[in-house]
Amino acid sequence: MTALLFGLLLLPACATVTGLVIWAINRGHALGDGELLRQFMIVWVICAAFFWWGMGTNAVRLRIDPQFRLQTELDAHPLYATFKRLAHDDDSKQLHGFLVLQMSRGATLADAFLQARPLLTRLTNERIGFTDQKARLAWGRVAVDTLRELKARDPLLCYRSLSAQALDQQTLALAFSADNTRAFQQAVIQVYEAAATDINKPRPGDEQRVEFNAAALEYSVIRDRIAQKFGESVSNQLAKRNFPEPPIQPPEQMCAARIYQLEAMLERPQAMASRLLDSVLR
Amino acid sequence: MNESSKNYAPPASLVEADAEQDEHELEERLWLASEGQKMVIYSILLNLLLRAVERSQVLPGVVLELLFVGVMVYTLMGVVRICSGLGKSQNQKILFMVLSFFPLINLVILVYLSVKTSRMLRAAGWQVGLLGARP
Repeated sequence: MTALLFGLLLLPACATVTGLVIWAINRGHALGDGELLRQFMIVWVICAAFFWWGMGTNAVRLRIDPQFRLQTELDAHPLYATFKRLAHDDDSKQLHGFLVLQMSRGATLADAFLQARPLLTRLTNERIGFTDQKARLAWGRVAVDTLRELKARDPLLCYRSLSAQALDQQTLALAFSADNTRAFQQAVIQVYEAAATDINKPRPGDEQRVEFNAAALEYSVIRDRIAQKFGESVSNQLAKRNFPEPPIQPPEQMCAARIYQLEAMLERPQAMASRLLDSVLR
Repeated sequence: MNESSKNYAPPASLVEADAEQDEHELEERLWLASEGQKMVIYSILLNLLLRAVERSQVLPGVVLELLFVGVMVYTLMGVVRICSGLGKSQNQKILFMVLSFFPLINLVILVYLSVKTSRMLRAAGWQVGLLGARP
């Protein structure tokens, strides 16, 4: 709208400036019609070229072109830049579309990213199978911290985030601390960067592989401990990733059990922890 | 002022020459105004035509822009000629040229100048039609 208005005003503004210049330089002496027209056109063309050049500069476009301003803000955000650089086209388009929609509704970039958190969580969970162990661990730590924050705020919110139910806008805007948001975005970047490295390239030397049977054994150890601590039904629900609404078990207990599960996995050696987290977060 | 200058009368040949020159100048202004009026009328029609072409998207954008600029220059030429024909001052000419760039105001200006021209030409015995005037 602003750009359109500016475009409409460009020609009249140039003509006004031209008129003033012609009037100023020819005060006191009369020009023939041809000369007057020639001078007018020359000054007008110079003026229009100057305005046109000015409109093309980033400083002016940031003021008059909301779409350009929005895209510039997005490009400057490290997480968006990472998605643009490394994510699959579909992921990148989904994030772009979501952020643009939010910002066109008046949200700031920071708010738009807060609202995009469920989407980012889902996309990142899909990527952790292709990432390295360190990134997977970082993602696991963020998952635990997030659940802890939500539980402290409202156990039902924590439960809903387990069941991947959509949290409303206000909840998303207020539920997470600034530190958690920063850590979350950093972890997403880490996962995408690690996932983008060539899968044929050997992983860092400290990445040991864990056999399936060993991981399954470790998983059942943790599951038994959850059963002892929170009860068999909670352990079963957690294992099946079955989080009905309304909750069958108290949300607080389910949430605590999930936090316990993730923490127990994170306490394991890196390779094992990474393997276990991949199985429960993906 | 002395007696001799009071009774001075220019020679008849000079008076005749002045009258002839005035008539010639008037004739020239009428021609200028009628030419300008024709140009303005044609430029309005050309503008309408270009708008239609723009909507039909027959021509590439750059060509259209150039054509619009061409019509704009043609309009300005018409405006300057009408102003000269109507005996407007240089400052008024500049003002009318500037206003020709303002949307909607330019139409009012063109109609105003055209009406003034028609009146002047009719007063001088010209026949004024839809697409211009002739003596």
